[in-house]
Amino acid sequence: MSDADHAYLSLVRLADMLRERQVSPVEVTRAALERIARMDSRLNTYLLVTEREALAAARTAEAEIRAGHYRGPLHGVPFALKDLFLTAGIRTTAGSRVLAEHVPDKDATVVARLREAGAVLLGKLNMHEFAFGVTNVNPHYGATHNPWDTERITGGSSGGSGAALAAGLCSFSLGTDTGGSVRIPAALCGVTGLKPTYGRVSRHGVLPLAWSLDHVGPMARSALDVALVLQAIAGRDPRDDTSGDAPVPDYASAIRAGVHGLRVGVPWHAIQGSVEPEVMTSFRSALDALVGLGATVSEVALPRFPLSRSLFSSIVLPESVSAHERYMASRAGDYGPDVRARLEAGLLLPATRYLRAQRIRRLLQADFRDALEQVDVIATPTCPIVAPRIGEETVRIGEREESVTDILTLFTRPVNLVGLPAVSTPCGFTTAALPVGLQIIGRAFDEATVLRVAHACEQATTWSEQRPAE
Amino acid sequence: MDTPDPFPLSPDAVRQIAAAAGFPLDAARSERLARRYQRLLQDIRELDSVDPGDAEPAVQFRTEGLARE
Repeated sequence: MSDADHAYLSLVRLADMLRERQVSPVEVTRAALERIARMDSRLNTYLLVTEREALAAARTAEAEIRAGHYRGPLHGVPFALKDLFLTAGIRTTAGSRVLAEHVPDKDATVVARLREAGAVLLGKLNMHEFAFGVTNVNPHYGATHNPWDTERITGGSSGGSGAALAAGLCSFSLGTDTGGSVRIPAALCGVTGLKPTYGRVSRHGVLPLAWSLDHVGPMARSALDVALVLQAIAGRDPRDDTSGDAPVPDYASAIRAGVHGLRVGVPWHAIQGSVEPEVMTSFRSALDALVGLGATVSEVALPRFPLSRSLFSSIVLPESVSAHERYMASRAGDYGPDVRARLEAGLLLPATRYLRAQRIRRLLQADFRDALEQVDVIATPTCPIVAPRIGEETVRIGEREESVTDILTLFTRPVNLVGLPAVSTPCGFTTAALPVGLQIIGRAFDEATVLRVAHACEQATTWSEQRPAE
Repeated sequence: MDTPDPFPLSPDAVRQIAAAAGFPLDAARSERLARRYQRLLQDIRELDSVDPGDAEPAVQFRTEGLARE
């Protein structure tokens, strides 16, 4: 098996090999570290590689597995974290100069859960500064480069995660998603990323951007791998008051049930005229694939969908400037210009506008609830466009010039406003060999169904098996 | 279409609001922010015509914890 074959092993397959002792955690970790050292200078996905800690964790995992103390499918598996998750004794910068020397004394709950599962942390990944943007062009640490075309963005803000997965530089990752920051890089890098239901996964120990919109989500190279990671991190955390008590099902079993008879709704009114032709072609192919597997596709209405952009701005700006009060007051000059400008704008919005948006948000939630009474899931393209070039600030859709940030979040930010689970899974490539993502949105706490649809698509196609050139 | 107020908040008002919140801004930055705020109000003004009815704010965070306390 070649180095690349090893690097792209599915988590499921790697777990089998580790459990059967066909390969050891130390071998796997060394191979990942060597690959990062060889390849990451052109991608800039890692802000910090924790080689010493990774090898120590791998040795522990190896000894435990050898002694018959196998912890489960993440045991000995190398992973990496967006640099927004607190890691005890390991620098956590949030991609900002403001926190350049910040070394937390505790782990985020999800990090502690992954350590408990025996996973091996390889390092911390590049991101859009403070998760407040979707390009991953970071003014302090440099842009992350898309492995499919290194002149293009990865999407963000979990862009280091998307690119590292696409390049085979880790087996899975955790990202965060406030307006699409897991799903957008998943789509633009050709991997799978899940934004769970608000409350499904603890946010304790994750630096906030906007409390009512922030979600933590797993990213990997398949829906099944995402399911295994979700299994380890989902569930109530007493240290996060927003985490819910909903039972956590066996995701890996639940997602294998197929989609025969499943009802898929498409909000065509929101999609038509807003999507690049090649993205639309891939989206329609994915719908055809689902129909071929026995699902039905019909149109659903989301009348308040067009308000999403205004709602999102009215909520994310005040919440984020509040979250950044202490740093903005003393370190404003250390922020990158784009993030600082966004934060300052939030300072001026009156409380009445914020609360009005929070009230109208209920109406959007009602739209999604009504639609999901008619269908089981809602499908959209994850993004209307493929990865733009680094530095490109606007793109043309038909006759319209659109801001890259606005257009990339068109279909993702409404889902943060309503708190429902949504996955992005690969659904095709353009003629320029750039990946396209399919977004599947489900009912609250029904991650199993959205992952089931993604898994069915992946099984019926080969899109998730494609690899970028090395 | 209404013509927007050229400065919903004057640069000086912006500077004072920012200072009151503990964020000092110089004159040039205050003016840029005043313009940005003007664009932001334009961007979100479609919400002005939406009637939220009896809807309460969708403040999802902390409610469960408060109930438990």
